[in-house]
Amino acid sequence: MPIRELRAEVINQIAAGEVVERPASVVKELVENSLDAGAHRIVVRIEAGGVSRIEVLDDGGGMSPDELPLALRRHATSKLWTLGDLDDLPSYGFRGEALPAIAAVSRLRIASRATGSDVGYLYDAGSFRPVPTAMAAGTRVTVEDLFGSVPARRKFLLAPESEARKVAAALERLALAAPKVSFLLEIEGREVLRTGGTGNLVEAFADIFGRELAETLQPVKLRWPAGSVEGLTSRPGRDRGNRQLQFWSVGGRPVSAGSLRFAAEAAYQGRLLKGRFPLYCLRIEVPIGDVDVNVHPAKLEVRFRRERDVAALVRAAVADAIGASDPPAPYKTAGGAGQASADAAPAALFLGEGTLEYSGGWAPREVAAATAADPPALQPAARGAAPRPIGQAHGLFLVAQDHDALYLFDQHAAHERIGYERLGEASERSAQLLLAPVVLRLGPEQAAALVASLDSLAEYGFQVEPFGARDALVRSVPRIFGQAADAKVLLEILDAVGGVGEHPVERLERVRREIAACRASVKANDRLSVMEQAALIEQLWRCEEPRFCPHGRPTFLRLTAEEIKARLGRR
Amino acid sequence: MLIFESPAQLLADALQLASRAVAQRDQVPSLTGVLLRASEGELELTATDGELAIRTVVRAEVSSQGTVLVPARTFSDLLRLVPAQAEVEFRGLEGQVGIRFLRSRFDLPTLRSEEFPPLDFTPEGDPLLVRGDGLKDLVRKTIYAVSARDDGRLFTIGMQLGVRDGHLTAAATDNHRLAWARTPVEGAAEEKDILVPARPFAEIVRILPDDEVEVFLNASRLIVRTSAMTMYITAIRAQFPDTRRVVFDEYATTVRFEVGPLLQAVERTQLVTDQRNARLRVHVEEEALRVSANSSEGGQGSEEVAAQSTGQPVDLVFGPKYLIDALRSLHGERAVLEVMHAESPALFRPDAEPRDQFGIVMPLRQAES
Repeated sequence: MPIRELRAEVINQIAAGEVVERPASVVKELVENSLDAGAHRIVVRIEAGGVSRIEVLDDGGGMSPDELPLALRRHATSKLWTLGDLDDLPSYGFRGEALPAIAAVSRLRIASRATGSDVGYLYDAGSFRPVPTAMAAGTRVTVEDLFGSVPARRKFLLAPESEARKVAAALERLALAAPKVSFLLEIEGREVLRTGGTGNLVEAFADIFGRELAETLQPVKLRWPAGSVEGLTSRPGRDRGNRQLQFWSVGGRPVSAGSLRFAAEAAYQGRLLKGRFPLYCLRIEVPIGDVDVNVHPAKLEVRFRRERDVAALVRAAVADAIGASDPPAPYKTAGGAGQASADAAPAALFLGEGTLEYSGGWAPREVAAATAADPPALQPAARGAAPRPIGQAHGLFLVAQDHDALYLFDQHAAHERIGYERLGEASERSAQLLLAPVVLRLGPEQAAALVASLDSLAEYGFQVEPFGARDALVRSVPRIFGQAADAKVLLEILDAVGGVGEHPVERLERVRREIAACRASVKANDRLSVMEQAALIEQLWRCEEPRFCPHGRPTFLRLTAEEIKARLGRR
Repeated sequence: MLIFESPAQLLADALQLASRAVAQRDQVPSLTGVLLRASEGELELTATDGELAIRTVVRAEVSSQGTVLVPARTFSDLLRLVPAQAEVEFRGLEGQVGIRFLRSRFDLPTLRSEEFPPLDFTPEGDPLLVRGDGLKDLVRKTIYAVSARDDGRLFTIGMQLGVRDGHLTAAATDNHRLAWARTPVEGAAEEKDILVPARPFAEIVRILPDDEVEVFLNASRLIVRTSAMTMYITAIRAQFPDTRRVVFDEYATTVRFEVGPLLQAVERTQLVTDQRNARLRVHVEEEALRVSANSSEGGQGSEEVAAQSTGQPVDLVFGPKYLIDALRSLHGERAVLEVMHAESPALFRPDAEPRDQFGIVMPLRQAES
């Protein structure tokens, strides 16, 4: 068969395969165009899961009649003039691929009235020229019979309800990335999502996922000279069983952030059980030149030029937010009466998902207040008196009360936390010299990392010498809690050099400390005298982090008198 | 079909002996059993966990010869509770055994004897003759230096046994300390070494009689034979470090002291070390050893023990546990500490000739000043 150049329609259909996978990707592309056009309000309507009809309407800048046919040509774009522009591109789209790609697999019409013009024009893809039409300023794109010309693709679509759900999910991400824009989504004529476009992320989150959830989030804010991390993250103890509610945006663009996820989760160290995940919505701003969005046509993945630095900042920002977070109120703030109603909020109960869910109302509180001012730092000394013990239950729990709540303490978990904090960080590290040096074979990257980190290794107790190109000669190993560490920990350290996770030696120290704390703690069925109970609760109350045991399990439940009354029907 | 009769006590003792080789875990069901084989006038009991194997023989009135694999735990527990003098009759049938004594009768299920591995207890070459109490002494002096867990370098859980200069030597190290000892042996023709897993070795040494036993250092295993039983341990295929590299002919500092007072001083002083990072300082002076420790939580302590030193004064830092282990293992009242410098191997040995024992402890690195 002779070689030929592909015809334009075929090229467009192939491109469509990358960009336009399903109705949700069409919506995403169209909405991003609207955002680039400076829209304040975007309305999306879909029918039959978006297959029979998608309409995206905005109040953005609009296009002139001359621009309309051009918009449907491949690689025609208003956003990029030269390749150099790619490096500092503030807009969502730039390839000029989306519209022609969509037009290649559907019946597409654009109506647009440019700002300052009195009349709009309607252009039907494939028609000769735009015709005048009456409309408000902005642009309306209508996509009908999606994949009508590509039956193969249509076969892979899900049921209309499922496609609609994906559209809604895409729009949620966009709405969280652009809280200044008001979004409205109508599915089969029914309004399913509406955001106010106030520019307040908490409001946007509340509009989408409900006020209750929004109120459990802590503001995150960290700025450095060249950028910032801002957003919301869940309080410790308010975690979830999956990662679905983790949102990232970069430069106002919703993205999936790969490794940054681990950085954010690392901030919850010791406050999160295995298999539980924080929920958050984080927005990263870095100089445009430091981000590469051109990794994938759908632009979901981004790369950072200094990914590890960004990750470290994300971790610091989240840790800071939850460290200073308004804790679920075993704490009495020094603030006094004004704070009392917030303290009494049932947020105080450690009710994870899938366990008991409190159904009562939430104490009314201005959402804005949560973000406006950071809550006062709650030092152990600023907490009020510890609850008084009432007794021991089931050989496992201590029951206690203070003036407005009832508490159930897990005696083992509580004691573990006390022991863990008492053991403290290793004051100084010591190094066990080895009888015979251990030779470890290194990979090329490990060998490079070794040379770069000899000094810091010595600090941790590793006396190491490079031995030939590929081996390390270990002469001493860290001694942790009186026990020498395995020389092989060195390999883990070298793999982790420059990473964002916990330093392997520190992790060993933490684990040994956890074990030591656990061994020394009271167990189930250890009977405690009233004096011992009171002392245990008092000591826990003075801990830096009384709410969780070192493994991240909660140490106590708090049940407010208000809530008990409500549940017993005594109002 | 197997039928025999035997006094309960005799059978219980033999079972208990063999049971020491039974597998602790039950991944391989046949290894949780003891194989009984009845032949003319005697009963042979065999058990193995794949690494260690024990075979012992007791006399019995055998009326029908045969083989059966019985679950070790139930059998030895049951027999231990049978009155000692009672005569036990044993009938092994397909899939079960009947046990009768006095007016009692038990039927217990058996394991599949055809799954029990074939074992060969035949040694190669001439035996070494060594006293059982000598072996026990070897183990006592060296077992502390064996690593508690397997870190992948197999020699740290092993004990190196060797024949040299008319002695059987034993050495163990976890690479932080090393222990070495020797005991006289007869019949040693050539020098050789074998590395065996230390804990199973200690286990079989424990059940040996005090008098003379036969030991064979074969290429792939160690065999120990007494009149009543034969045991073997499969060797570890790993290279044990060359102990000569950490022992020197001449030392910069040599200190002579009494073990008891120094051990007590160390045991007392370690009470005030920081439990997270216990460090104990041993300062060698001309007429004394000064042991000291201090920590913010434990307080401080300092003791002086009389000693006679020659050479350089030196300041050593140890993990107290290692020091205590080494001192406790030393035989005799007087001992010698020898060291090149503050961060070199510290050698402890009894102050006696010939030198039948030493322990080496690696100091901790001195804090950078």
